[in-house]
Amino acid sequence: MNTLPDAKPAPVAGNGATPAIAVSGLRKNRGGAAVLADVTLSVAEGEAVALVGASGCGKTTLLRCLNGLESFDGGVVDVAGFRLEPWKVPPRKDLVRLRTTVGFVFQEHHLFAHLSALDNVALAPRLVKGLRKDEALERARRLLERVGLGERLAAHPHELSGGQKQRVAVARALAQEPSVLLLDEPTSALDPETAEGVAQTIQDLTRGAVTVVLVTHQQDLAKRMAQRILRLENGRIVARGD
Amino acid sequence: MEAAPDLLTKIRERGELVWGGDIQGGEPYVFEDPKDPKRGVIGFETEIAAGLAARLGVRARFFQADWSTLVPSLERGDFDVALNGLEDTPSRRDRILVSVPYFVFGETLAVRAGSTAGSLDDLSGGRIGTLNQSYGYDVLKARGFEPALYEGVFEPYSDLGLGRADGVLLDHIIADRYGCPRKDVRCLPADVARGVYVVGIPRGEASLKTTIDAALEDMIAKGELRAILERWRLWDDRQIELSKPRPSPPPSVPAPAEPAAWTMAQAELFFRGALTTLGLSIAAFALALPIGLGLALARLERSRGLRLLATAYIEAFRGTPLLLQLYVLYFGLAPIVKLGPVTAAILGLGLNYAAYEAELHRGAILAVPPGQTEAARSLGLSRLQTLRHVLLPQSFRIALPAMTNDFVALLKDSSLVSVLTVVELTKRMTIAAIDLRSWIGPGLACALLYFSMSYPLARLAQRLERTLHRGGHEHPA
Repeated sequence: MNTLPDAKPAPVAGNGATPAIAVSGLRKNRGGAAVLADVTLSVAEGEAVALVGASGCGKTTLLRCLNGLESFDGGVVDVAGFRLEPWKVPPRKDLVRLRTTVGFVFQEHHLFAHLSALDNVALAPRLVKGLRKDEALERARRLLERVGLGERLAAHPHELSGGQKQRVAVARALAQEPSVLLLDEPTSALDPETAEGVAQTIQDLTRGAVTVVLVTHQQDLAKRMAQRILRLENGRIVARGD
Repeated sequence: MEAAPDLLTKIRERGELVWGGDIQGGEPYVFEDPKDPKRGVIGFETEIAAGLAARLGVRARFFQADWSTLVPSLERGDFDVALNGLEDTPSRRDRILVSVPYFVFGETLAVRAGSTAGSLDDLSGGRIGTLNQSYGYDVLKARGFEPALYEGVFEPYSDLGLGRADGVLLDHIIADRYGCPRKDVRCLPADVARGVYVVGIPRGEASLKTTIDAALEDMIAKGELRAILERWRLWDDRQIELSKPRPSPPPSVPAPAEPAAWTMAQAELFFRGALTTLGLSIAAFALALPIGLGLALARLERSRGLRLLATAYIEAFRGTPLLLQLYVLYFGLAPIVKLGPVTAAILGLGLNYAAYEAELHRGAILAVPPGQTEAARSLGLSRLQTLRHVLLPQSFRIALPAMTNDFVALLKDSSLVSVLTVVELTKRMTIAAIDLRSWIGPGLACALLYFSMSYPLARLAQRLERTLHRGGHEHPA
């Protein structure tokens, strides 16, 4: 369908399984300029892919398009069985299922400031997935233990360190049991040692079970966490790493 | 040694007799000429003042004052004499000198058309309206009534017609003009009591009193007073008493009221007033909060219509005085909705403060970092869930110190509802000040009670503010 001359076939992961994410011909303009010119990519189920590139190259925008946080102007996004199209707001029911299937971790953790770590993680399972309160709290507790915060359940975000906050944010995203996890510079606000720990935690929790798209400008983090590295330049994927 | 010149000397030196009165509801006493308001005031008292001034060999100049504070204003020296339907009562004689009478009035009892009441006693236990500081008030108190006090002459009759009062007792001049002509009001023919209007003169100014008395007696003897009263169609059989040799001492009713003393009963009344103030304020704030929140959300809506409506509400209520809103609600809307005084007071304060709370909460919601909404969206929370579980709990904390301050302001603004005849703390003070013949004790008691309610709240607001600044808040990146 895509007739642009430089359109490339969607890159499919080596194992040949159904792609968890398939993007083709994605375009997005902002203020007259193309932020995403023509992005086509594919991520296999269980695969971890890193998106690298200079700041302002559109990698965060691309990530946000993958779970409907941002709309786009052209192309198609298939993610976890949902199809997103330009200027079409999916019905509320689909959007909720999309959001619970595709988790998102922000560069700035965006933890709910008025809630404890435990309640931050338990809120969405209870409200969105409809878990009973005790079930949601139990799930949150287990997840926080797995990210190494079993002792800080009652702490509020302002009482946690940067690394701890980001761990809670990862637990919060995973509490919805997503099949895809989108990470937007999850460690760039942290010092190298803390970043290392958080990266390790993410890997432990997702490896093989959750499809991961990681946006970062840190080459070494990309190499470490991803099986494949895609480079974004001027709104296009220009190179594929190993 | 030469004593300081007395007031009479000063008036003569100045060439001007300054007389105090109130033009609100002042027809036929003293009022602005409707044909040419710039020309100054007219009315039968204006002509009496001119007659007095002429006899003193000076000009007369009118000074506008609030009728219910004529006596304190006279004591303060705002004007030389008070000449505005000032009834001769024992309580006035305690504070100021009074002249010989220039008018005899009857207290006319007005009841609702269709009422079978034939005398004041038939209305025992009912709600009887009169003016604050009036002779009618003294008469009602002496007869065991707890009068409903109004600030204007039109409102008590309108409330009577609407069934918000059972009777109105006021001077016959007022009753004849504002009450008896109404279709929904019937005036009883017999005077409940009789009294006289006198000129109020500051205490200690005996020479001025003698001169004013002589001037009035001269006006009576020469028929000049009668001519004035006839011109204003006020001359009736009652006025014959004026020419009788000694028209004072003051009239038959009521028994001279001794100044009340500070008693436990007074203190209890003050506490009750404070409770009324507190109760009104809490009820009004409980109304203002949800309405304000609703308006704030409407202003943040995408829908233009909703936004415009909310903005219009907020600007209308913030852009006009609360007092005006209370008048409109209670008196203006009366033909459509007949609200009781307390209901109108709570509604008026609540609707007004809703506008302020709306802006406060809108600001607070906008002050929650956008990342919070973003995170909620990314987790699949609906707009309503985001609002209920993420935004409002945080914006409320941001707004809480300012909300507490607003409540303190509301507590004090609630004194305005006394114009709707609600006896709250401030009104209680003005009533007590009359009964006790002093503003100092009641004023202090009133201030103390307001302060003891507002100060702890102000401290609470400060503490909340400190807690808020200590943390628990995502700082925008």
